[in-house]
Amino acid sequence: MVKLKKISNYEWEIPKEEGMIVPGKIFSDKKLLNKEKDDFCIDQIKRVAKLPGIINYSFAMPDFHQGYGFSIGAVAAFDIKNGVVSPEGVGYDINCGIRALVTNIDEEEFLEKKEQFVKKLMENIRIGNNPIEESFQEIDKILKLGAKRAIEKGFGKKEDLEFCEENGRIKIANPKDVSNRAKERAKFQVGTLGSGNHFIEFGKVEKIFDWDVAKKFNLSKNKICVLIHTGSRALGHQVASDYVEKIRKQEKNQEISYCKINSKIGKEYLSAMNCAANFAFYNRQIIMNEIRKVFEKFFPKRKSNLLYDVCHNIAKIEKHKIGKKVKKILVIRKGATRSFGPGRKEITKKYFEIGQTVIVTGSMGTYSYFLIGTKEAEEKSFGSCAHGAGRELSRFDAIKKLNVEKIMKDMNNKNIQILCQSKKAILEEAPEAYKEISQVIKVIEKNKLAKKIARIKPLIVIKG
Amino acid sequence: MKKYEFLEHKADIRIKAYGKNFEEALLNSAYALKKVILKKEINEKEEIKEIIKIKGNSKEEILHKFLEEFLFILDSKKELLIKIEKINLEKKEIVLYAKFQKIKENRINNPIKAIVYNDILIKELKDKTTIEFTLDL
Repeated sequence: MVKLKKISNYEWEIPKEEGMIVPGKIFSDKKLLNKEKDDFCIDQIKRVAKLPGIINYSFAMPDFHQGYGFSIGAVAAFDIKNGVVSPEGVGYDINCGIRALVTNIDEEEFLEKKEQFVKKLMENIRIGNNPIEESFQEIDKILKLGAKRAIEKGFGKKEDLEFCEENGRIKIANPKDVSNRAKERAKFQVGTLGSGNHFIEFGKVEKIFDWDVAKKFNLSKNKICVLIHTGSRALGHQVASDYVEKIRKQEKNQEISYCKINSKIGKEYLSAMNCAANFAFYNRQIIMNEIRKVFEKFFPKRKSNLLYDVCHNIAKIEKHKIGKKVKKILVIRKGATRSFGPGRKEITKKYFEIGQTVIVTGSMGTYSYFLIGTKEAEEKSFGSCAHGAGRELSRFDAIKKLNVEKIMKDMNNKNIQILCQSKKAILEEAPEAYKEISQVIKVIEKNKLAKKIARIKPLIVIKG
Repeated sequence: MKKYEFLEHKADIRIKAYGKNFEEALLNSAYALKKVILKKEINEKEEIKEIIKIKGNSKEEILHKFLEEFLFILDSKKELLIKIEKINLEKKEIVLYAKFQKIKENRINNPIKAIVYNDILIKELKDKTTIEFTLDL
């Protein structure tokens, strides 16, 4: 194991060695670090630290674990003039992200109608593919406009856009930079959930840590919330694949594919990535709209509001303080969330004085958390935070070591209903396969990367 | 000789496929991919024959494009591989003749996001070729 320099019980450094431009920085405690005691992740953090134009540190958030190229939970910022962008840095599921909807539906009234509600919901939402394909013309509009296109078509309220990162649409997005192959793969997947670690979860607000902010978030105890976790589906996967191949060929990269941000291919990649990000925003808007329709049918007197929609896998051009100057830089977050504090113009007006909503999800059947971003996160990690619990067991180990019947019994005992087509998926996504979310949250708070507002207990989990 | 096996990987799936030569190992890579996609065998009546041509400058590139083609056909045509009947490799091109089956919507929910490019490992010995690759889930 490489020797880490301890900054505090919750912050560690990987000292610079040959080839590294900056040190590594891991936000973690000893227990979480020990779970990554093989050196794969450390090597990945070190490899990222060697990329041209990287600024300050190669970061790892507390939920970090092995990825490819970059680890999951990686954050890295690059100088716009001299720095690089990497499609593997962003990942294949471009703008995999999370959207949270809050309601004033009480847990008791929800559970009374649960069976009929779930039956109707499963008729409305699309998990796999659609029966009818979308035209390329329409796909291009979605790539350009994102969630705004969904609103234009009547799938939601205009005010929903205010509560999305980038208002649900990243503007520098030219559909011509996305291959027809990607659009072919996407044509049956518009507005669908997908599988793997994608899910829809209905939960209740179980505990409130900050009542003032909770009020701003329209959160009350025992009221129902919804989490929607999905991304850009096969469109994003193909965009990533296309550009990994193109950039590798052009730049003759060995390990991680990367190119100059300001190069022709760098700009094309960012534009295509933004298109895929817009596709993901559109998908989450559609799924949320379907859920809202079912809420309106069963709870016509109740309201639902979009709390926030945030990206997990993305590269963003943002202004940050580097030394004494404020500069535009490119921040890559792979399995990490933006976590801006109060006063940033990027966050919605309603939250301007309190900070951006941060959503950190637990594994299937465990708590999720709503938090707010902080000024400290902006200083320490370019306004970034963890996004979830992070895997502890490999899928292989989870299938070998865990027992489906026991997992389902545990869920029953906790009054959590799991809807999943596959026993294998239940094993792979079991709580025991993930790190303890409360530990991840503790590390986040100890480093002041975000501040807890509420804890959500799952009631129904729908997995793809 | 076994056709393929699943190896340890934290977040995704790593596969090792075997063959007497590169072509056979490629074939078994495709069947391993199918195993990951398909939870249980589906018997659909409609069979479709496809001829697929893949070009690449290296065997790694050929493997990547070969496997990705199955994901492309699944997503764009809703067809899943049944069997590869013939596979020819000449210089930088693979031509394969395969049977696919049409899949109704919601019968398949493909968990594979991508074939990870930088994790491909090909080892060619006298009577044995192994191919290792990672599927991003």
